[in-house]
Amino acid sequence: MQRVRIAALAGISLFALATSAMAQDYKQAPELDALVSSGALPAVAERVGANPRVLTPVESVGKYGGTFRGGMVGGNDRNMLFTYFGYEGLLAWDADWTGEVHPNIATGYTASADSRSFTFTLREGMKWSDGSPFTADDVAFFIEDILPDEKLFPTKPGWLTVEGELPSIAVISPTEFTMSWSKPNGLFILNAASVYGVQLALLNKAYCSQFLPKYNENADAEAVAAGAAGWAEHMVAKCGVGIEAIERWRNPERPVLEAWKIVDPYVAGATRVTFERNPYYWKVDTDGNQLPYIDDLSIGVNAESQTLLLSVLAGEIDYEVRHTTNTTNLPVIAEGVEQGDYRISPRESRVGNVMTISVNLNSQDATKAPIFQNKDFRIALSHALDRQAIIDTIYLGQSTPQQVSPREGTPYYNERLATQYLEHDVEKANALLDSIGLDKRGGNGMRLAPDGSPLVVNVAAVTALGNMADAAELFVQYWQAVGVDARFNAMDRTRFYEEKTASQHDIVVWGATSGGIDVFIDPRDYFPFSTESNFAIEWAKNYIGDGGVEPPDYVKEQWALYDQIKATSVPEEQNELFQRLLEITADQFYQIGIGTAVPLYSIAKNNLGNVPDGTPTGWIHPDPGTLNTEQFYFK
Amino acid sequence: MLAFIVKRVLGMIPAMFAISILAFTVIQLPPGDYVSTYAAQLAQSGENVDSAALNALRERYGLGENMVVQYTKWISGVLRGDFGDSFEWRQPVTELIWGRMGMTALISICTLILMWLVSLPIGIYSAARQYSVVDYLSTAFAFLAMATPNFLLAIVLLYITTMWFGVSVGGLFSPQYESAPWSLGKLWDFITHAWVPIFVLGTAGTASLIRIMRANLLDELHRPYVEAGRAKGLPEARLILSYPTRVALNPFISTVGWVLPALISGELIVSTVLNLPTAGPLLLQALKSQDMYLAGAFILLSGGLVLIGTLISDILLAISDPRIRLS
Repeated sequence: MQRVRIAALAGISLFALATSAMAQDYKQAPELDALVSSGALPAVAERVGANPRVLTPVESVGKYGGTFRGGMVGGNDRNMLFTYFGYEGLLAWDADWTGEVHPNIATGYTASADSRSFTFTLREGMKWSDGSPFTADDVAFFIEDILPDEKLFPTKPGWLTVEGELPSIAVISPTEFTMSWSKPNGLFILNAASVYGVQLALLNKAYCSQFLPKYNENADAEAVAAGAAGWAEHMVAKCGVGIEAIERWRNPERPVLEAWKIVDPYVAGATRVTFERNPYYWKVDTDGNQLPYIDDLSIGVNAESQTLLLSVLAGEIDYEVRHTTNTTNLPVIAEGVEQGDYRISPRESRVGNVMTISVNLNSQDATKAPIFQNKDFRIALSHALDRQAIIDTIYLGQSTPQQVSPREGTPYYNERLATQYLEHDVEKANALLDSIGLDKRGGNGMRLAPDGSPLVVNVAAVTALGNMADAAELFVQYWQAVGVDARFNAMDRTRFYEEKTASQHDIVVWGATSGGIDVFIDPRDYFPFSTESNFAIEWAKNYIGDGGVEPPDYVKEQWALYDQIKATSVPEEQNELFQRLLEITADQFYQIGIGTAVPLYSIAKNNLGNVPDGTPTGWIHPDPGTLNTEQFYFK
Repeated sequence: MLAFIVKRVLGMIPAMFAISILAFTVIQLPPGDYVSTYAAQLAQSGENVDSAALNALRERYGLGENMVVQYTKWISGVLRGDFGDSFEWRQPVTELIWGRMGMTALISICTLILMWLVSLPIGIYSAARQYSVVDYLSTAFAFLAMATPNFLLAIVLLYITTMWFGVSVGGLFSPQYESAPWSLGKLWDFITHAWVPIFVLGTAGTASLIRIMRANLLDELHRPYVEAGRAKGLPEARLILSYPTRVALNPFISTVGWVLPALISGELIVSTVLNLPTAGPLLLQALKSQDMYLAGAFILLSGGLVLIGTLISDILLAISDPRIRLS
């Protein structure tokens, strides 16, 4: 009997020890201690939930405290707040963008063999910033009640629809749900880990449902009483339905899952937006400290980037990567490193080229259309450019000549596409132009169209955006040297978009987009994919079902290959199909490129710790959110 | 006098209507509208927006209808006090404007007062002591100040105050005082920040006022009545200040109506450069993105200020110069 009792005691005490070891000793920020001891907040173990995400800090475990200072520029820079502090999706990419998808809000997922349905498991005990539990019902609220609504989502996000069909969701338990379509959605996981995936867990059902008529029959009346036009406008104003909605940063009452929550909201006319710590944040570091380390955020609003640049030089900004860190400012920023007490942290750009020159294959001009569609014309224009001189002038030599192609070193690189027609060969350009019927010259020495009329080619670029206008002026000179009467047309962005969307342009100069893993998500530069595929917008409109012009068979073949990519989620299959697609792109030579993406950089104060170097930037991979800003700390 | 004022006020009403029509037309002139700007933004961030959705948005915002209908809707709202909603910020325009206009008015009025306080004495002294050292110095300063673009001056001063004196960059307050209640510390903080825009905005105006004052007074100083006053034994200073100066002030007063709106529009660039929380940056952004109602409201307000300013200057002129009142 005695032995049984001792054994039982031993067993119970062992069990107690074991459970206390499992209910790990979490630590919290000192500023929360008073709130916990007064009873205003529950203890930290309860706040982070039973299964918080354990984040390994980049350099070392950090210290609590401090106010992070940053800056936004211009009207409506909400995406600064989004990319810096708002990247919390079910899954996440790592900082180096290796393509590996990591658990974030979800602990993991399983995909069905035919890529039609995806089951996610969530974290036990995870909470919103107001202490209410985060469950699969919040995701279901979005999929069932918000996404299908015509007023709240007049255009559905492309990655959530398969041939126009929206997903259906089945909630298995508060921590498990399945999303499915009737056809395969091979790119869904990639999208879910990208900037777009934040949409799924954005809305708190308990708070936001009060604005929907389905849950609150007085929703419309209350909306009008509050001054909104209707329940939909009130819902957007209070809950900020889309990922890029500015209202996301406007309502301090709106519960969030991010590391910091709004104090001074981002309304028009605000000069400063401030955040404070989210006491229910569900991530801890390897030592059990609840993240984030930094207590508050203070983001100033600047009318234009020069004041932000001056703030950086004066050492008043803790981290900057968005507005001032370009090639033009590099000299003055490098000079001010000591006085401002900051360092330049290199970053990579993974876009397919520094810029794209798109000759309009869908030109509405009957004389120009056959000329533009002739591949030799584009090859001649490409050979007429002295890429090294352009790179040295505009990019300070920081690029190597390349056509528009996925980056070397990625599995998507296509050598032929990247390296064809790069040589500066004026004779070859002239010979090619002569051979396609442009051999007659007018009185000014410029080539005439085959019917004898003057051939004037307008090259449009947006002056406000970086170096494109400067580059376009150089291109025009090179092309005039081979007899093409090219004229530079500076435009503002809205007019630029209007003209090209109506396919009224001849040649436009714009930036390139995808060159890394995002080639699947946004392949606009490789085939007519969207109204951003500037070389063939009419064909792209046909693809998205918005009118347009039917394209030749080789384009349809590319569309078929891309549809096959979307139908499978096996990376090797996707790569192989994409290479076949790129072979057609190389055959057709849609766009002319200049050089590889220029190395980028960011600025970090010397006392800001856990900032990695050399990681890629981008929008689909929303740097610096992917650096896990919640583990930044002040040394 | 009263009849004079009433006539002028009645004349302002058709002028306001004309301004509103002009403002509305000019804002609509660039191709496209806010929905085009919005579509450009969406397209840039990778969303495929089809034209059906854009047209639906246009209908919702009332941008698809013809100009006359849009104008009538807008002006009837304005007369009721409803200036519409800003598309970009998705907030009512009245919320956006009042805060900013208050700050704009404060800066402009401070600048105006300082301009007058500085330029009048110097102008009078320059004329009275023509070709003296002070006269040459103020002339040189005047031409330099008028030739320098004021936004360049703003950037240089901003750089100097930030890098050499450690004042926080731009804005009218340091971060710690921004939302704090008014106190002596906040007042001093305001002064350390505000002197740059007031100085920059004031320099060109001060310089031209000095020159004008000097020229006007020089015209008057050689008149017989000044000689007569001197002969009768009036002290020189009292003589100059009481008689020729009052006459020389007439052109000044008649232009005071233009000074306020000139300040408000001139400060648009300077405010953007210096990041001041005034109307300028908000108006510039509204014009760039064709945010119709916000831009229209600002321009209406500025037009109204021109009219009111002209009225004030007419009244002041009538008060100060009996010849105008009696004619």
